[in-house]
Amino acid sequence: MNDYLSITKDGLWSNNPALVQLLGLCPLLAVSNTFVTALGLGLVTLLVLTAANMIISLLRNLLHDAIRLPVQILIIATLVTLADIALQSWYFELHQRIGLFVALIVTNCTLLGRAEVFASRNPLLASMIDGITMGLGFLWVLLIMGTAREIFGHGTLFHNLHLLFGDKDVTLHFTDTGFLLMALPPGAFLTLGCLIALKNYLEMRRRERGKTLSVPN
Amino acid sequence: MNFRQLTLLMLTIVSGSLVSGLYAITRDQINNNREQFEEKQLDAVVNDDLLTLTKVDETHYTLTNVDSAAGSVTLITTQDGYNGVITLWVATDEVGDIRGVRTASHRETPGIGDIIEHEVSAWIDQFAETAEPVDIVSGATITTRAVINAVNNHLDDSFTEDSSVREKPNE
Repeated sequence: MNDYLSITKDGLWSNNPALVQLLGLCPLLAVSNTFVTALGLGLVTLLVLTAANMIISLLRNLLHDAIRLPVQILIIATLVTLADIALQSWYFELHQRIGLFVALIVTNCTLLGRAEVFASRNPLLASMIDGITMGLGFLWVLLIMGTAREIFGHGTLFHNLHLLFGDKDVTLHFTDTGFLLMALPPGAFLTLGCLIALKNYLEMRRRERGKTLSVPN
Repeated sequence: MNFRQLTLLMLTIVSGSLVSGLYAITRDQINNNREQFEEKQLDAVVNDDLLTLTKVDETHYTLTNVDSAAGSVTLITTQDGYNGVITLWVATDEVGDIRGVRTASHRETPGIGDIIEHEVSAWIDQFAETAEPVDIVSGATITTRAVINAVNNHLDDSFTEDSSVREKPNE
């Protein structure tokens, strides 16, 4: 049980794919300019990552070293293509916005990284939990960046959310003119930089507090 | 053939059939979605429920009101934008008055040139009010002027009577 806890903590915080491993930056920077695109791609990544981890973990005893990498890529590419087709048939308008980046999930190093480092060496349940938590770790960073960049860059929040859930338009409008830099790619680097700095600051403070507590009087 | 090659072969076959299977199941649905999406865009350009759209080819639709011809919708392109090609749907009536204009695709700067998207701003609605000159937007001069010129060229080419949109003069 402790193992699963530490896997969860790894994925969500201490070894977060976006904040610590800095993997998958390309989709992270590209789709984080609005909340909806961030949520859409984050969910697709979460699903594909979990499924890929589970399948690779099931096959791990079959796979000889010589064919392990090609098989992992094959499985990831298959799952991404399936997800892409599914999106086109159920969420067509969302696909019009993030379609380009769905195909790029194949090259998202988070997936191959987890497959190679974790799933090909660990049993099914652990791999599944690793996939879910790594995916959620990626998702929450994406959502925070999407929220911040949409509010500051476009002056709105939840614009187009009806593309994912139902028909109701729930857009919140703050201003008509956003701060352009945040909507452009540099805004993504700035937001991510701030998030990493914040995380490191929190970690540092916790370590220092730990130190003062453990020093005997 | 040894075991490794066999594994790889089997996995490839399974993956291939999964992908083509799902594609075969969803192909109709996807084509349907695409057509619906295009129709929705065109309906927004025409903005009149009484008119029927008939497809002539990929870039040209005719409009009919019950039996009589009521104009056309055409996809026009311009190279004069700030960044690459802009394509626009232009709906006109029989004499060359504009029913509506919508941007179909563009690569203008997000946050500046993208005001020509209807989702971003109502700027492009000005074309539907033909009597009024259309505003050039400061900051997006090149983009907005390219759109106005493209629409004007289309009107000049297709109709003899002068019904061009004018830029609003500087005040």
